[in-house]
Amino acid sequence: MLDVKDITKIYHNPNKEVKALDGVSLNVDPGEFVAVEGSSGSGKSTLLFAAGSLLAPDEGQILIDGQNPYALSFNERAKFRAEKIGFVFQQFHLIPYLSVLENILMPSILMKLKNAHDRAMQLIERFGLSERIGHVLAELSIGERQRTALARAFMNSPNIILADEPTGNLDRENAEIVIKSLAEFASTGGSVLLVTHDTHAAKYTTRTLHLENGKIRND
Amino acid sequence: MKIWHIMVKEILHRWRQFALGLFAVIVAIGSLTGALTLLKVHDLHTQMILTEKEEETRKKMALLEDEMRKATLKLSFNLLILPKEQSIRDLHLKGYPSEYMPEEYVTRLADSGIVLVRHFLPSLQQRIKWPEKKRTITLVGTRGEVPNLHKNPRVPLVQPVPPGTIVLGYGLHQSLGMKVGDKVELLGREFNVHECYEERGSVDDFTAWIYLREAQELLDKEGLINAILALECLCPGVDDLLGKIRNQIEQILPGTQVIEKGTKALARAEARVRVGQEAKAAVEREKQHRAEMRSEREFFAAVLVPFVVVACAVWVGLLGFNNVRDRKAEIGIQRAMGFRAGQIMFLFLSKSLIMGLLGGVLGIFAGLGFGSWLGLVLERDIEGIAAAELFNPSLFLLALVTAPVLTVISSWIPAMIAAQQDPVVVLRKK
Repeated sequence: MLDVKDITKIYHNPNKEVKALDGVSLNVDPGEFVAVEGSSGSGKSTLLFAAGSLLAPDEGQILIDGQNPYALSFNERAKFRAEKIGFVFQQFHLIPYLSVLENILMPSILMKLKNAHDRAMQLIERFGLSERIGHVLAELSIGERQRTALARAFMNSPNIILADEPTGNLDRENAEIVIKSLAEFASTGGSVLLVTHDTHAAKYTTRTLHLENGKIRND
Repeated sequence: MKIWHIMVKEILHRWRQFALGLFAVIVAIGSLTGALTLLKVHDLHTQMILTEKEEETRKKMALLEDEMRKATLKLSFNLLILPKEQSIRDLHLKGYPSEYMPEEYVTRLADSGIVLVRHFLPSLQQRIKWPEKKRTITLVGTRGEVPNLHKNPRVPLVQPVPPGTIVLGYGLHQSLGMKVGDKVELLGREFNVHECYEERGSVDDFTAWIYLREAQELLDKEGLINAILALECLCPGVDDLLGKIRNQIEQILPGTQVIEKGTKALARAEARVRVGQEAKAAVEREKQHRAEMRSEREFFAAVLVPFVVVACAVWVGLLGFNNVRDRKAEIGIQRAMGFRAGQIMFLFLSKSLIMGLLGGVLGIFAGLGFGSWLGLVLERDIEGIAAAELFNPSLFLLALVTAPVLTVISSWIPAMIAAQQDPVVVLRKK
């Protein structure tokens, strides 16, 4: 599903060059829930953005479903992301003026999904947001916000979910819900790449990789 | 859910920002519409003023023409019958005839059966020194009108000077301090002042009139006269009246010549024409004044309106930049989810389009209202101008097109920046 082949990413800062990723290779097969652990600045987010076709590596290749997204045009790549990838972030990145339902429905605009509303309602029920359906961001708890973001990531039934520290701002209970949901997604044939320093996630993942100074230490 | 749904929700969420943009569009379109409305009010008011003035002039002219018509009915030619040898050049130079003819000519004319002349006024005129008063005057001896016996008798136009009396022109009685009833000596003969004329602004002001016989005696010209004034040579409908009268008189009195003398009726007619011309000139002056006022307002609008429109466009652009800055995170996640650049631009530009359309419509009505109000203040008396007259469908369409184009152009660069925003920069922030 996700095949990362020997990628390197260097940030060219004014004072110095920072090698965020240094020959990283990994693959996440369908049904796999892979966690990448590492300290702050180890290159975890860079790896996630690169895998998510948002940040082109300087060297190496990334294949998603056998396709190199960076070989696509700007707009084709956007469409590719909408079809194949779901994102979950630590900061949730919900649209503040849209309700829970509207935030969840937003990715469906890109796919022109039939029965989008029904699917959104199923996700709302699944993530326990039925009471919050018309509420906007400011009216939600932190956990509800992340569950909304998670439902949004699931909306288009992506092949892979890329999660960047999704439990970083959550309490234990909500973190558990999020990790379990990702594990369930993997168990239905999806692929999950989780970037985290939350060691509790390890019990749900199929593999855990350690990233240090831009390199995978063990696989 | 459709993409425009997000746009509408964003407008409602950041309504203050939208309202500020909307206000700018209303001001821009309002100033454009207001300036044009003001000019329209000015034009309508000008039209009203000119129509009113032209109507007034038309009525005045109609009245004058009517008076002219009436005056023309009564209009007569006054002819001067002079001795044949009298030089016309001398007559004009001296102001009186210097040749003489028998007084009997008047009687001959009156008895001749001439039908085109109503009265004859014989006179003896001479420039003399008035030794008693030490000045030079024109002395006119007259006996009053001799009526044409073959015409219906009418009230004489000129009253005769009774024997033993004198009539003084304005300049004379003023300079001599004389009044009616005073006695005055002329060439050794005493006269009673019979009448003192009002100022005429002619040689008459320095003329004295006495009875003809007495003038003939004083001037030693007994039985002689040097002019016959043929009064009321009237014959409506006859062409070349002057020529016909001339022929008749010259046949009766072969030793004379006939010239035309200006009439008061003609002078009055000329005065009326001048009044008419003055009325027309007044209308032209008003037109000119209104045109100058319009030109000033046009200039003011030509400077102010583009300035306001550009300022408002810049303002809308700045609001757009501010909106992009506020929505960085939102744009980042939308880009990450797969929103294409065109869809991001749509979110920004469709909002600008709505702002432009709404602002355009409101701006038109605001401009119409403001323009009408300002027109009322500046033009004062504009009652009678209906709002419907100020509403211009072409202007409405123009504003409806201009306003959205203006806002879309102003928001284009911010929208481009939003569309090209790198989502990683935003999403990286924890």
